[in-house]
Amino acid sequence: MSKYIAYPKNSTPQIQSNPWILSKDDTLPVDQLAAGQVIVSYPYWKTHQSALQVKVDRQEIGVFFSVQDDIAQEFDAIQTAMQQWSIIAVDFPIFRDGRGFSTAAILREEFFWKKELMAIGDVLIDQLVQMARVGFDAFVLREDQNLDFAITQLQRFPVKMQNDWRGSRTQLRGLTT
Amino acid sequence: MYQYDHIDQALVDARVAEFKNQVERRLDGSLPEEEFRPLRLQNGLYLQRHAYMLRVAIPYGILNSGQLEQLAMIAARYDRGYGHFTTRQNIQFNWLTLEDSPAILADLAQVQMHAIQTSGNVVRNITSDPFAGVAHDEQVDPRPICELLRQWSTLHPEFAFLPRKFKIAINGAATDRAVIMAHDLGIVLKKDAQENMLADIYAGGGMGRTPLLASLIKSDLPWQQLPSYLSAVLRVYNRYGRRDNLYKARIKILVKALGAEQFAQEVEQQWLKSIDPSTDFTAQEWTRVAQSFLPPTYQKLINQSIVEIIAQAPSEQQKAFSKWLERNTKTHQVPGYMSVVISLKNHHGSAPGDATAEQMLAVAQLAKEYSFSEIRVTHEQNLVLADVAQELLYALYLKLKESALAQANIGLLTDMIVCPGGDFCSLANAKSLPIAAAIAQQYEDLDYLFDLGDLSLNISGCINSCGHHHVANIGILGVDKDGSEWYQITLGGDQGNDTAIGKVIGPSFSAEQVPAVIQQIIGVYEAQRFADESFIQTYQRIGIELFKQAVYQKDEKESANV
Repeated sequence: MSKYIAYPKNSTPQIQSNPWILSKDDTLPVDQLAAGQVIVSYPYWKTHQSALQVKVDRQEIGVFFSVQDDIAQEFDAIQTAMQQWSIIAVDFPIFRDGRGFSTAAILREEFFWKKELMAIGDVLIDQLVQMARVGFDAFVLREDQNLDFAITQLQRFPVKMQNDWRGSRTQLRGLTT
Repeated sequence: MYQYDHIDQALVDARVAEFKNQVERRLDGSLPEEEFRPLRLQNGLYLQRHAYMLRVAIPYGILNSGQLEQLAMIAARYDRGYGHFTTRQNIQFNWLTLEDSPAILADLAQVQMHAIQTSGNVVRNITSDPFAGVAHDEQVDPRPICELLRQWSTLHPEFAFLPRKFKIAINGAATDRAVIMAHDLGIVLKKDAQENMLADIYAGGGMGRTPLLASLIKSDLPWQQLPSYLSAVLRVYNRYGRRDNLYKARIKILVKALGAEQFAQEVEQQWLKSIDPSTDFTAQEWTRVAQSFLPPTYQKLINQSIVEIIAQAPSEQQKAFSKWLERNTKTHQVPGYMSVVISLKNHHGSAPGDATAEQMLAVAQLAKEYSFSEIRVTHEQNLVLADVAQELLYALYLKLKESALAQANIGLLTDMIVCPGGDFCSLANAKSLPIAAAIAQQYEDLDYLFDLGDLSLNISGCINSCGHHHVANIGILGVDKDGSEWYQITLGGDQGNDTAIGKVIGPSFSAEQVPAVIQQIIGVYEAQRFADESFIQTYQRIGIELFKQAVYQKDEKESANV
């Protein structure tokens, strides 16, 4: 099983085994999906929703959004469907495409997504801080990245100047103490 | 001015450590250039034609003497003894090495400075009125909002990789001195009848290859809600701004494609959805920041008349001194004080906006003696001592002269905004500095320059328009034609409350032709102007046609003679 970094809110980041298998092939019939916990694309979910019910019942289904999926346009559909998902992932096609940061923030702030939110794709150690702040709490890094160093990166900044998913800006804490 | 607290310092120190590590990984090969590039850009480090260039942030253009001394030290120790002040009120060092850059950032952090977000596809250094807090026509002192938004935009996690760069300018005076209409986002601060501070928001302005003026998208926004509103603007831009074409990725293209009204609606909907009172600026935050901008301890003085001020100089110096007073001083809110503009366009061949380490040290010292140890940078690439007692103006003038910093040309033709151009910049199509030098040489006669009066001439070495040629009365743009350098001329651009984008007069010219063409254009103005009419007023009255005729008919005659 591959490794990923789990960094829950109000906790510290840790390297763990990744129980999720990413299925990017949208042509695959549902009965040929990998056994166990699988993350499928949002279009795949929409097409195969009923056939995936068995996995839903076992809490073995997650969905990933690519940069093509406009989650604001699909608000009502996602709001209903997401109750059945055990995880949401957001794909970064290239590390410097920042749309995934807003997707994560919207999932947390507007959809009130409370379960795990996983960053997938071109996930590099130098972008982890931002990802962790906008709402990601699970990170599948690109294969060549150093996971031990990623843990250091996530803990690099002792202060922050904006409210984010993990808490208030440091200025407010500084003022109340 | 604003002083860092432990939070600001901790953030900058952590950033220095992070970048040091990134440079180490770049140098040992574990971080490829492709992945390092956005990281170094977000720390202000460019790879130029000859060397690395570092752009250091001067937030809203304000720095103190100690900081300027540190910049002088960096210029002397790591560079070739000078720095270049930019149109976004920053400073650039042109001759650095990658290996030195972490040490330079550490040196900057010692004096509460950094290079964070001076480049890259992020919210850039916020610019403002260089006369903030002292301008006679000020409605709202923009500095506390500038500082609050500096903090809010610093390492904002959601907007670390926007489609393209995002520039914010803030103005709070009757006259716009921040070119807000040519920015991705312009903020105008004002007060309502109950003295509540409100903001009008303009979006979608910019220069570059598609020059556009910004549109009003929100009126009367309470200042406390700036973080949530700006987040909504940036979220809409981050999600819908184009990423397929570098040249169509700025917010202006999105605003234009949707239409300003539709864009404003999208933002409003996003804002109402995600509005969260806990993101608003609090009264305590305001107080903490605003106390940094309380007026300095001014003496109780009475205003001197211009005759009294001129009389500070011995009679043989009075003519030169009065010329300097006329162009390089501005009225002040406090009786007995004026603001002094130090021209960095010295007619001696150095690049506009350049200052040597010695000049920086001299200005730092003069700021200590004459202006409460504070210096401002203008977007026209000059420096300002904002709080000088009128009774000391001649003494200051003499000392500026010693450092070749008393050129009396603010707002005149030789006060050119010029980008570094093809001599340094890897994006440039053409050189801009030699063109500026050739024009300056042609207009050395100060009496003649004074007679021509207010006139802006700006030069950009490529269509990215860093030299702001679009908003100049006379704009010069370097273009590439079949591998050689040519220059296109625009007329009728303007900044301030009548910001306008200039019109191209016709086919472009070679570098050798440009000074003569400028002379022809000036000749039309001289022949056509009414008494006391400025260049732009004459242009607006008579239009572009006579200028075209003068420039191109002569050209045809010459060609016919060959």
